[in-house]
Amino acid sequence: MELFVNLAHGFSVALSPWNVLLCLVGAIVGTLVGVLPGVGPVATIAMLLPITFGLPPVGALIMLAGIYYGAQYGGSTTSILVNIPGEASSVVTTLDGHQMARQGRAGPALAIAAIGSFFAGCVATVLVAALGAPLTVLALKFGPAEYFALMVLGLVFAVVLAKGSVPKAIAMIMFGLLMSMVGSDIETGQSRMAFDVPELSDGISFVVIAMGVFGFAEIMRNLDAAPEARDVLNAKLTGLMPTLTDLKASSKAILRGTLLGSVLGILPGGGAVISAFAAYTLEKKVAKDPSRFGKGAIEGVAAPESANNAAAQTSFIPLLTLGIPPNAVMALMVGAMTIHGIVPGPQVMTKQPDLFWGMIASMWIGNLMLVVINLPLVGLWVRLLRVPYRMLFPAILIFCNIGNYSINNAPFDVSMTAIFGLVGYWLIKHDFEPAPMLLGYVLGPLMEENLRRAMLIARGDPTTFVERPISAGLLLLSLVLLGLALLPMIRAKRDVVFVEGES
Amino acid sequence: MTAGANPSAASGGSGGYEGVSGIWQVHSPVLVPGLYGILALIGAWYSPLESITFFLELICGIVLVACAVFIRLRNAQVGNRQDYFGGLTLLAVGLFALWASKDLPGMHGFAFGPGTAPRGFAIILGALGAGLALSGFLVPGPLVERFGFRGPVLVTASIFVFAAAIRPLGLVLTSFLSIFISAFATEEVRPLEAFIWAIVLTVFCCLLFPWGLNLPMQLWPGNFDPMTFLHLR
Repeated sequence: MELFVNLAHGFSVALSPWNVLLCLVGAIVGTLVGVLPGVGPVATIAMLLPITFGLPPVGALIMLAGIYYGAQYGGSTTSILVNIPGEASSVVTTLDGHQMARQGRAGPALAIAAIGSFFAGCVATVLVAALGAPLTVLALKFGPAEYFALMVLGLVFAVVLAKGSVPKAIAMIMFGLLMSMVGSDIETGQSRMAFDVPELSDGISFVVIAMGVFGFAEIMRNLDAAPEARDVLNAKLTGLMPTLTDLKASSKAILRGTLLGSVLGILPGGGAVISAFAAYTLEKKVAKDPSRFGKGAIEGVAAPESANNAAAQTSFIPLLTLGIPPNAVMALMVGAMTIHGIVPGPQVMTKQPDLFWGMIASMWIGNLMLVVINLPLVGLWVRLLRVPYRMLFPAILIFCNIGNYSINNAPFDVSMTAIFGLVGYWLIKHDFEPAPMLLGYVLGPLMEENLRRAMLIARGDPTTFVERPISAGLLLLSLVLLGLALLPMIRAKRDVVFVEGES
Repeated sequence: MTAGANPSAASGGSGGYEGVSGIWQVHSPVLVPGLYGILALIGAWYSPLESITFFLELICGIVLVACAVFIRLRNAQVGNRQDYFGGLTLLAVGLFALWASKDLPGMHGFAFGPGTAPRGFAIILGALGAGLALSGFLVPGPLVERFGFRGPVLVTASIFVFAAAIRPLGLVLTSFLSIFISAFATEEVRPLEAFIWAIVLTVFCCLLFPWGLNLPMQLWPGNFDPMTFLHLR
């Protein structure tokens, strides 16, 4: 029962009143800052990191865990309320979460996101404690070919989660992939499609694209709409807490999301991002009525939020054993840990059990704090939507601008965001969906890197992707999923053509 | 599908397209591919001869211009305008990306060069866009929703003002200006309310970001800092 001994040890470190207080403060501050639209989790954590520097290592880590969960949840809140995803994994939350908010169900959406995250966090904590070491073996089985196949699968998820036409979704993915190519080449460092603009040499940042295409475009679209149609609050608020039916509908989604997230989180890089998309796709596939998705299905919020959180938790395994952070938020956390003396590497579990298990336990406590703080606050956040839109949107714009500017102190980024806002507006008008584009953008560099490596290792022989069993399996799964997504499309298209021919 | 096209038929059921908007509605199916085609031909002119970029730009340019001429002469009507314009523009984006990566080295034996992936993705995007435009031309579908003018323009303007002013003018003036401009992006704006709201938000932002969160941001223009006068030294 080494597992419980370890966990108990962690909790004994983390559960002193002082540490719990620190965690609470961290979660409150993290939520309050993270909930500002435009100030995503990355910006929040970066801004709040310095306040932990004066604390002893364990206290600092526990406070960081609080900030992390607060910021994460704050990001989900903005995704749901104002359709601005703070990071890649909460892009999926916007799909159904924001639709729920538009239907007056922001309260249940926010609550289920917190509950789902908490449940996923609990399960994943135990999983990390129980399976930490053996699971690393799985991650090590993944070579470049497998990673490439995994990225392809991730992109297919993006196709499946799209509401509309499949070819359009694929085109959007390609658009996203192309945009991820802007900047320096990974291997040679050669500048690509940057036109000698120094600000572009590092590529276009995720925040710029997400804020522009989702946030600003949404504002422009809302301004087009008639005031009655737009005001989220005019939709009747139907309760702040999820009903029993909601809970029943989402319980299985949370369970599936947690499982999927726990497994995918173990894969270093990309895994945590893909998990949210994968969970959403899975829900859409197992649902009796998939057409509800994208129109405010509560499972569409519950599953990706739990998957995301479970993956964030289990991604500590590759993070600590291989030293690969799964996303920008985690990369920041690693930076903070290094400052406090945890150096990622295989020896961290054995050499610094205090810190390691203390951290695992504190992540769980941070998660708990999040639920404790946010369930009562749901009413407050929802009430924010009662502010008339003519006052709300300038506030959103200015927070976005300041948050965006503060990341790099770069006015160029702010201007780029405005341009992407127009791009997003154009996309909406032509019925293109931005979510697949954003996933293409996120996975692009990883995909290219692994494709190049795999081809190099196989000496240019593309059969390597089908000869390796894991990679072949993943690619087969992608094909099947793509086929399933395409079938109804082909039928529908043929119907349209026939109807046209008869008339 | 050919003859008898008049402006009212072109604007379909949506109605209400007059003036510039109506003219655009009628002629855009010709103008858009024509413009993209000419741009592609210019791209071909500025590409290294006999490279794949050159051929693709040339072929696509000729085809696009030919399509524009064909549509003009036959007075053909576009079925699904969303897909048609969307697809054409994606094709143009693909061609542009292809042109932008024209100088990057490609395959190096069996190893990928820096240019391989961008060119590959650009070609796939262009092909998808072309397919989309073709199916949009043939299969009927919805019109492109009318573009707003006031909202997008003023929102974008306010963001650009923020970007341009934050360095020289400092946070206080910039926030105020940017908020005030953006407030006019909707017809429901009430100028006095917008003015007060801009002041309130500016104060809030200045308390929160530079003080509360300790972000290094300049509050006032240049070296001029009224705060020094308040320090009563």
